[in-house]
Amino acid sequence: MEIIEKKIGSVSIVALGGRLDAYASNDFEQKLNALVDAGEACLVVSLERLDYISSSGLRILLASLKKVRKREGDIKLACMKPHVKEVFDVAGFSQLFSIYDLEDVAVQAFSKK
Amino acid sequence: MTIKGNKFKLKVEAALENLSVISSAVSEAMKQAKIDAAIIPGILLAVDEACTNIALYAYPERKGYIRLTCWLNHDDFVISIEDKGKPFNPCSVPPPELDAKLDDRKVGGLGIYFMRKFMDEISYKYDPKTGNQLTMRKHIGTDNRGTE
Repeated sequence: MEIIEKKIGSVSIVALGGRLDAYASNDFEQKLNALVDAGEACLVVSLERLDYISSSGLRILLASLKKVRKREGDIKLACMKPHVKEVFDVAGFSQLFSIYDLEDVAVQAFSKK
Repeated sequence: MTIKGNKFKLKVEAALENLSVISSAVSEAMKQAKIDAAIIPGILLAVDEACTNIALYAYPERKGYIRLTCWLNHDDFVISIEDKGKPFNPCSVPPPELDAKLDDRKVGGLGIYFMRKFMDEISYKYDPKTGNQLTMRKHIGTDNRGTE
C-alpha cells in the first residue's frame, strides 16, 4: 500500500492508497504511531486513493484516535470512497470520527476550533 | 485458483501476505459469476476477515494452509474456507458494542462482526480430521445478479 506524509501548518496529513488489509496495517501502524508518539495532535488521514480497508486498519485508527483525543487533538478523515465509507458506517466509526469530503476542509477544520 | 466443475478452488499458505492473492482470486470468481459489483466489496471484506483470523491465529507454531472454495448454489454465492489449525468458531464471538462512547469502545473485535453483517449466513463446523470449515453465503437473487 501507499503511505504519503505531508504537513500543512500544524496539521499532519497521512494519505493512504491501495489496500489496507492486515498485512499492510503493520506499516500504517508504525507510521501513525510515530506521528502520535512525536506529539502530533492534529492529524488528517486522507483516503482518496484507498480502495480497501479491513478491521485491522480500523483498529489502528481507533487506537490512535483515543490517544490524540486525550491530548485535545483529533484525527479527521477525508475523501472516502463510498464502499470504504460503508465499512466505517457499519462499524459505527462514522460517529467516532469527523469525516470530510475534502482534505482541505478537514485541514481547515482544525483552525476553527 | 483452479476451476473444477462450477467451483473455484484456491489453496494458499495461511500468511498475511497472501490476503491480496485471496482477494484477487475471489474477486475474479465473483466477476465470472456475474455478481452485482455493488455487493462484491462486502463479500471480499468478509472473506478477508476470515482469512486474516486464520493467518494470525490458526497455526501458531507451524506453517499451514487455507483452502478456499466458492460456487453458485441457486441464488446464493457460497464460500467455504477451511484450515487444519487450532479449532476456532467465529460464530461464538459476541458482537462489538457499536454504540459505546470512544473511551469505552474496544479496539478490535470487528472482523467477525463484518463477516456476519456483509454475508447473509455463516456457519461453522469442526472435524478433528478435516479441521475448521467456515461456510458463508450471500444471497444474490435477481437483484444482485449483474448483467454483462
